[in-house]
Amino acid sequence: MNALANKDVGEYLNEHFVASFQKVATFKIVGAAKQGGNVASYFCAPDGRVLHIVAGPVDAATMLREAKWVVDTTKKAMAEAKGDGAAFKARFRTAHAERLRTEHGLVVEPVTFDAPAAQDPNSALTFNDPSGRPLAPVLPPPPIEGPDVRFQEKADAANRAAKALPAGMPLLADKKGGRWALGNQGRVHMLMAGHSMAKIEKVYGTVFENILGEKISTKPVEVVTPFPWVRNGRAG
Amino acid sequence: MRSLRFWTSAGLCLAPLLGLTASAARAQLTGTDPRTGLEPARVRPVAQVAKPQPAPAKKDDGGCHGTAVEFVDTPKEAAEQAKKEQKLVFVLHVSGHFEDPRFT
Repeated sequence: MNALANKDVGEYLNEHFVASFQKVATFKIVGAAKQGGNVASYFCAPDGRVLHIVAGPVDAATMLREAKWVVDTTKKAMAEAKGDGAAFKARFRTAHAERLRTEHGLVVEPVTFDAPAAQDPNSALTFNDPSGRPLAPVLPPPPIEGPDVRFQEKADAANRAAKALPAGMPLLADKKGGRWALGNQGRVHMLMAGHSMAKIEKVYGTVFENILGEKISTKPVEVVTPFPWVRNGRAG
Repeated sequence: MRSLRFWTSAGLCLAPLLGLTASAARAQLTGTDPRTGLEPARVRPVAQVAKPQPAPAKKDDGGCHGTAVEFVDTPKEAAEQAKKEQKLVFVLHVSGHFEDPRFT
């Protein structure tokens, strides 16, 4: 733990990244216990599009490995895309799908083309939060095709983990009806195979709610007295 | 009779003046108790009590917040700086205590 206090991680991040932080959700103190509280690390392009995510607290070695993977994959994708943004995005999503396959044994088809947004964020019909911004959407990850037989061991491990999960823990279904348990990073690769290079404000809701299991307060309007003319249950 | 009273009272008045002031002066020089004539027990000097200091301010670590990573104030600022320096952006989304080592 305490990955960001590690000297190697610090040096690498300071060399290749400009870091910042935001508070995104609250937590409650109930008795002596803290409910809620988590962290998500986003590796982004300078325009705020998300390249990769580390969901939850990790150790220094994991953080360093993920940061290096982002830098190396970015360099490789830039070299291959030759200035074409769509090609860069497709390569990055394919890289995430490849990591999901080789490290977790599950196959997803990377989404290499984004259909135009179905809803205009400035439309009067769009449901916005009180500050006027649209709510963070819950992004659907690409469906799992099934296990990759070449990485059967990884898939079997995921399957065993699925059976060991306590009841009520969400499992992911593949197209053939199989049920799989994926850790945070597996879910991140799955999400990124379909939505990397999306803006951070579009992704963070899914990461905090669907991967980390935290609740982000998205109460649009907190109406204390919705009908101010009604007093004590009587119209006045 | 009067002269006897006079000399008695004079003697009584002078005796403490002469005797006690002399012993007091000796006590000041030798450090003896003027009443008992004994040296008082030596009192060890008490170590000077430090004045209460205000709580030490947190060490200015240049925006690192206790980590080895230098943070700028806002993601927008990070994005601008990253564009300028040809770097990527690292954004930490935190819910809870940032100083909690479990989350950093």
